[in-house]
Amino acid sequence: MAEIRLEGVAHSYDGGKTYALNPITMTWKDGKAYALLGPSGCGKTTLLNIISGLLKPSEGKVFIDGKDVTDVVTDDRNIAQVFQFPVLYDTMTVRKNLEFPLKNRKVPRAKVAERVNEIAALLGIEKDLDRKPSKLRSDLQQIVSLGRGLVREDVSAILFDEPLTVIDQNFKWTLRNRLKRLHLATGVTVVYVTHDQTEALTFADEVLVMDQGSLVQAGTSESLFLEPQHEFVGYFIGSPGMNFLDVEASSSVLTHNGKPIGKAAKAGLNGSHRFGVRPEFLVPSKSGLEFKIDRVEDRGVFKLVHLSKDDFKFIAKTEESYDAKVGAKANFSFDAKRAFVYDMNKKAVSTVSPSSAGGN
Amino acid sequence: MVLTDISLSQDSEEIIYDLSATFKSGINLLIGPTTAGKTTLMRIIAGLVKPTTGTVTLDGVDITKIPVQQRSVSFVYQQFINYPSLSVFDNIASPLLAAKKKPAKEVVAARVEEMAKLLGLSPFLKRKPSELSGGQQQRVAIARALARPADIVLLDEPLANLDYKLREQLRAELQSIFSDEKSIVIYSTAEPSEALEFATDTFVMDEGRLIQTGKALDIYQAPKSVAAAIAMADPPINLLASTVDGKTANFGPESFKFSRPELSDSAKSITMGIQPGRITLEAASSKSVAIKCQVQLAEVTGSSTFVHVKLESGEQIVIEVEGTQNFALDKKLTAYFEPADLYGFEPTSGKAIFAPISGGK
Amino acid sequence: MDGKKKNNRAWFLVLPVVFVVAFTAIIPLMAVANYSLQDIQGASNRLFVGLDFFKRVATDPNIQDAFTRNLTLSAQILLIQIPLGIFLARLMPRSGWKASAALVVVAIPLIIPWNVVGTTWRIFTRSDIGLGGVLVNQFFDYNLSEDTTDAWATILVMDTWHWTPLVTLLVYAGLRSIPQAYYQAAAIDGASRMAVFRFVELPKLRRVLMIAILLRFMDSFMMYTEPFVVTGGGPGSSTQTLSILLTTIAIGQFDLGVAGAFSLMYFLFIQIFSFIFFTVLTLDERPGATKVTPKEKKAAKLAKEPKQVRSKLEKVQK
Repeated sequence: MAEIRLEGVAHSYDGGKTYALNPITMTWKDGKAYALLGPSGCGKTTLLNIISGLLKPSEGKVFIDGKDVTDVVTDDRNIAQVFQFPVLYDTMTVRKNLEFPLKNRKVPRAKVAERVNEIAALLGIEKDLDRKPSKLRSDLQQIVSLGRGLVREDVSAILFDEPLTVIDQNFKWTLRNRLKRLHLATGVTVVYVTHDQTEALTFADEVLVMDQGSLVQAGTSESLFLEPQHEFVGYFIGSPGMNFLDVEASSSVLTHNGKPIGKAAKAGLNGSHRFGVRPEFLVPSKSGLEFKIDRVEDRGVFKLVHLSKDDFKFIAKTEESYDAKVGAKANFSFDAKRAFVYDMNKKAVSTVSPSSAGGN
Repeated sequence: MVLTDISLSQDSEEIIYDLSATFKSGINLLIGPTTAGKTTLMRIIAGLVKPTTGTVTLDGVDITKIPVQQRSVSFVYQQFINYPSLSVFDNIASPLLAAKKKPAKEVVAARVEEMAKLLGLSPFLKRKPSELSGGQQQRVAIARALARPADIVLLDEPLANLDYKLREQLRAELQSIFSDEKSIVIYSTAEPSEALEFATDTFVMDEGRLIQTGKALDIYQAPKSVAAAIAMADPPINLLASTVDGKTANFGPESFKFSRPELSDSAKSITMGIQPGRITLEAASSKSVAIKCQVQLAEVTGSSTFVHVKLESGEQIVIEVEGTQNFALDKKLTAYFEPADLYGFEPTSGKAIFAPISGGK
Repeated sequence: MDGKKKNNRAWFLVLPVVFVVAFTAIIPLMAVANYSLQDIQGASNRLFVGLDFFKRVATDPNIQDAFTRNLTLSAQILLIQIPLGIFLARLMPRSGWKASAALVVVAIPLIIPWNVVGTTWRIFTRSDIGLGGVLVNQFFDYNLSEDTTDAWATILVMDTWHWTPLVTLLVYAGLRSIPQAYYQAAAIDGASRMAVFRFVELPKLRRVLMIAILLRFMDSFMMYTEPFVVTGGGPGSSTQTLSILLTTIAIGQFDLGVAGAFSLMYFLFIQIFSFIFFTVLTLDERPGATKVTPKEKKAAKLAKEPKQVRSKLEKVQK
């Protein structure tokens, strides 16, 4: 168990021409579950490999429990890692696979057996212990790989690199449940890399959203949903993602094509910005912006209303009971705490309250 | 296009049972779990497989025995299948050039450019498929399928292998592409949300049978069977065994007043169903039924949270709540539902007895 | 799933190959078989002798000696070249220009024609003027045309020089195809270098090594050109391989009946050996090894149902 600290860690695979990972300084607290979330190629696996020591960062330092481990090899870092696809020793039985990390560290034999049985029971693979991994289905193979990551008691942290990619959809939530319980039971620091928002938001205490080699926002699942501090977070989390609109700010009054959209809470905002509001927080109201209803998707328990106004389109997520007629005009407003204005670096600068003028 | 009594057996195992259906031009949605036989049915329609019995007619002409090469069909698979050594342009042009009477070069180029524009591929025409992202590759495959006007366009779970953001985007694009399509488009999917989004004629398949047809929302609100309810519900519909006697019913350990004209006074076991989104954490009315439960896991998708809970009787159900909310493991909750939102099914045959009143609204 | 009817027309596409193989292999082989069963003295003078020639081959002490000798040679070659090949492959750089350079250097012996190799070594090992021969002569009394051990060792060294690169290249390709994750996992598991070799590399190299062993066995068991050029099979018959002996019988003595029977037995031996070797090593990769019972099939099908739905359905059905 340990605290992991990164100081200005960055990595470039081509000697500084392009960065796969831009400088990051942050602390991973002891015993917490973290998720690194982002699309493929966003640098999350690079970051993971730096923590495990498989990759030496081209810049910055890595500390585990205050000790500089930047130059310490993986073997001596006491870190376990589970990979995207099953990585197993073909010639060993499942039991031998699970024993392997312990035996290499000269754990007493009785302890090894006890620990292996414990983990096997936890993952429900007791009856497969004496089979060869190649005889198992691929999702079971991945569970054995998970087991090998979990079997050591002395680890500082366990790193998961998209571990559920090959797991059958229906078994995923069982495994997620087990992993979550396991984390609560052991209190070990966990870093979980994934591109699946459900996995990240479900599993982690804190989710770190990454895009193009940079950390764009870190926070609980609620804060990422309610207060996206970066356009990418608004887009990537939530389905459908955030509605965006180019706006001009003049003394904090936001307009699109000269028509008022809202007023930023922060004073003295000027120049080109982007306005963003999630479909969930675009609500039917008497005042507010007037839209034309283009299309209504009735999803059974809610409706997605496709709106258009002048040259832009928004989507609103409404109650099932909302009576939407295609082609009709409807007014929509937004929640002052849940609408944001982003600068040209895509960072949120302020919340936005609806214009009192009504938007016409 | 009309399918009449189509069945297919292989190695003495029936794969498709007596299936009859009529597909009209525009998008037709084929939905069902992975093993339902959707792909097999599409292969029969394409002419890749001959049915054991039954006929396929197109505009009144029997085409059952016509081989695939002579049918006017295009097919998009779940995997992104493109010619790896050809450029995107040549990939899209390939079905045009394969035709018996090769069209003029300019005609081909115009058509390819039109398709590329439609699918947002114009900047990539000179690239090889391997230099594109997964979503772009699948768009090339779709463009290729559409390049040659075909009577029948078959799309077999075309978005299944893409990540969810791309899926969202392509789904919307496909709808607008096919909205004014004169050919018969058959789109198969395992995802109810896709069916609800397309909101078109939907054919529900299960274990080789066509079990219900109609508009997606109608099927969702009034499924004819448990299988149709399961196929159309995402997250999965909650199903529990219950006993009704015309006056009361039970949901897990809770019993409550319940009567429906479909039910007689005699005691009867039924399967009770309710959509996860119809269970709330606050009582909506005086008629709401309270259920005590304990949190197993909260799955957070961003826009909604699926709370897996255990009832006091040990049965598990899922509650869908809006937005992102966190629930501590093993936390005790009280949830509520309206009796009017319940579905009822025969426990053995799975046939529907009653559906939510006024479509669950 | 798919109801494809067997379409036998595809066999027509194989016809050209059948013709080529018929002309290059089957017809010559039939001629050999013809010779081995009949004593042919002239165009119209032939006598059916049954298996007489085969019996003679089986009991000929010269052939028996050559057989044992060749088997020993092959065994020694495999014992030296396979470990050496793996060792060299593991030393080779994995990427960059160094990897390309190493590949070129390693591949050089493979692209030299057999008889050139033989001639080169013939001169190289001459104890009076050859660079290698003179050098070795400083330490030992070395003369391959007089000393049987010297001749044998020379053949072994020459073949090792010539063919170890093949093993190295195969193993190198095999090593390169092992995903990096396996090495990373082993590092995380605290595995030693030896353990990485034993539990990661060796199992993953199995198929490649099998091919390497098969190729090296077949080649060395049929070795002809190099010993023929370097030692001529001598001194005495100390380096006489089966191929050299066969040539002597067929062309030197013009004993075509015996040579025919010999050829067939030679051919069959290599075939059978390779077949057994291959079968034994792939025994547990056969589909039959993991039989899926109908019960498991059903369970797998059931497992495809959404989890909660399934448990509920099960309960409801009760």
